Amino acid sequence: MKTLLVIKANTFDWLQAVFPDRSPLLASVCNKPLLEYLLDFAILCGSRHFRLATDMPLAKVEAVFGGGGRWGIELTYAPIRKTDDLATALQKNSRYCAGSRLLVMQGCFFLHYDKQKNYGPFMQTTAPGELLTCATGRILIHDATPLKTAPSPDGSPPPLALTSLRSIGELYRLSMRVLGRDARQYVLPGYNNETDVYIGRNVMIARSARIEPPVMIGDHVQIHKNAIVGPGAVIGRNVIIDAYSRIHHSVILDKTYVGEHLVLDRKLAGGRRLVDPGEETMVQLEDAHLLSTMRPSSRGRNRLQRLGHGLLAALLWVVLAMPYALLSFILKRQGRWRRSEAAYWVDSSGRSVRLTRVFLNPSGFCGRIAASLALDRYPLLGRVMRGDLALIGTRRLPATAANRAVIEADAGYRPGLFSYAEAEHWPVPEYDQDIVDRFHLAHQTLIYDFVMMVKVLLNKLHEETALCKSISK
Amino acid sequence: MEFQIQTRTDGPIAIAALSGRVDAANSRQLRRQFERCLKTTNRFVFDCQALDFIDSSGLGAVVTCLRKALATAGDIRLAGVAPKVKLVFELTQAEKLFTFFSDADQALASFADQHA
Amino acid sequence: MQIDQQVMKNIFVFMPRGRLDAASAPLLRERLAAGDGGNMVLDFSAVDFMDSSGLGALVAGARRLRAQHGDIKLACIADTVRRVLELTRADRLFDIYDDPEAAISRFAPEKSV
Repeated sequence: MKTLLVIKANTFDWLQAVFPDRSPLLASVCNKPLLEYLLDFAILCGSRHFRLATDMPLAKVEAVFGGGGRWGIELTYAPIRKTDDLATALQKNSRYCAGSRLLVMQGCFFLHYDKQKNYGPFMQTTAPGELLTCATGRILIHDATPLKTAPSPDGSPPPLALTSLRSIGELYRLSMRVLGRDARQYVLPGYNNETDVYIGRNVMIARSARIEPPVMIGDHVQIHKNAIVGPGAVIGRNVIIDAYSRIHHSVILDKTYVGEHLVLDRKLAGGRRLVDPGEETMVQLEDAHLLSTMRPSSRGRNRLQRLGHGLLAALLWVVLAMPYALLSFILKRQGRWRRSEAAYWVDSSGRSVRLTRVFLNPSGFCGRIAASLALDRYPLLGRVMRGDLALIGTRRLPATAANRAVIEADAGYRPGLFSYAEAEHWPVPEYDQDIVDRFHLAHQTLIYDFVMMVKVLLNKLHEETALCKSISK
Repeated sequence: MEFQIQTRTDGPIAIAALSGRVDAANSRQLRRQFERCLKTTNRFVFDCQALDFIDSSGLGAVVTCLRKALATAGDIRLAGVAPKVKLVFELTQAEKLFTFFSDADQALASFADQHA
Repeated sequence: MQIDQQVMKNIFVFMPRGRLDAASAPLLRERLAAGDGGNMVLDFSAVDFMDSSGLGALVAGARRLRAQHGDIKLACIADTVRRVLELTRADRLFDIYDDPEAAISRFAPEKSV
């Protein structure tokens, strides 16, 4: 038997609205991704193949789940489009679906089952069609070859139920329920020596702190002095609970810092956002010492890169200083040089800076030289040296709300003086350029960037000389 | 923010209408205006119906005002606090210090009940 | 790189073999341009690598075809190619099948080359 999970981004709109920077496919109940509950269930049913078909980005999920080796199954991935319905998704995976009984799970839901029960025979003998349904999803059985004999029910069916997931409140209540009541039905992460206490790896708990079951603590968590965690606390990974704070009947999502002397009772907190799941209200805090996101330290590599870019920018700044001074002066006199300023987003954390834009008319002898040396970008070299911009990166986006949403969704934004697409002679329209930029950004290293810079400058030179030739013709 | 003194049979009560945000930018102004009113009365109602957001400096200012009022046996009562603002009070345990009413009239009335 | 070509049910089915990179992108671009507004299925089962040039040829070819009211569908993409499509968000532009016959059958019967 094989399993196919079809899941679309819009079923997680309620989650994205509150936590836009968290991948919905990794949304967890009691520190275990929803997806993993379904994987465990598929294995209980005797399925050794599992395919995830979705229109959501798969990179993070693939990074966590890989090829399924950890569970001894074959896990594969298929991209589908936003507008695809179930029938289309099945067609797009027709080769996978052929030739065996297929368990299809569609939508976003929580599946209640018991790891100690045997679901294999039930799945093999139950009639094809819709098995269970809820407001936000369903599970069905498809059969490639119809059964030759009528299925004979083998005693009472094992426990199985679906719960819809439509709000943070429902996710929270599920977490509390699984932690408080149903924990034994699932394989939950963490060391479980004491009943109702699950503790992950690399957890530091101060001696004066108190842990009151039932409690679930993820990996890399620090609980500082005199803090009280529990009862009913689900703490994600990479969380710090600072001194004297109390967490009761609450869920703290991954990568969250909870400050000192705070109380979270019947709440859900993630990053800077605090949610009351009962009232469905949410507030985004601005005080980092109260509630904030823990950022992973990939700073080392970035620092080296910024240094490299900055040094090359400094070199260019020196080398082009004379031509810039001379040509900008001349072109300004000729009316072929115009400066303006505008705000641009500088990174994915919402910081924007005002950048100088130069409009250069590349006609005439001076204009062409200035264009081929990319002197219109010269004023921004200072920004590169300061580390705000990369020397070469993705297209700079003006600071609008729409662009902010694009950046937050992508996390692949590194505005550069030049864009990678310029090294490739990429044809405009914008969509193409962004594709190329993202490709290069994913593969870049410092040396790579230097090589691409050389290509850009050569391209500029080539463009201008080609233009000259065509004009002179 | 606007502070208004309402005269009542049992003494004046000041009503402050807090709107928009109370944060680092205007919390000092809040405290100054409060102290000015403190000369007339030590009973306050903060009408928070139009209050969208409060951060730790805003909260700190309100709590400081409360301490000053309590020091003269007065009080600050909060009216119409939105759920998302109340979350911040709950998080910082500041909600234990205040009594919350659903609107300004009820808060005002509560002072009268107290006297009776 | 070599591109095998078949016609099945009036749809061009191209099967590039090998790497789709700067060296082979022009060939792909040329073949897609020769489609002349029809429908195509690109069978990627023999493609093990695609970089931005290959991707560029693919995207440009698709755009041209669609401007002429044709369309292009992809089939049997390897994981490495899938990741390139995904990280560049180009996967939103294409319908991707795991079986070329399913892709072919999705083209409306009356549309032909």
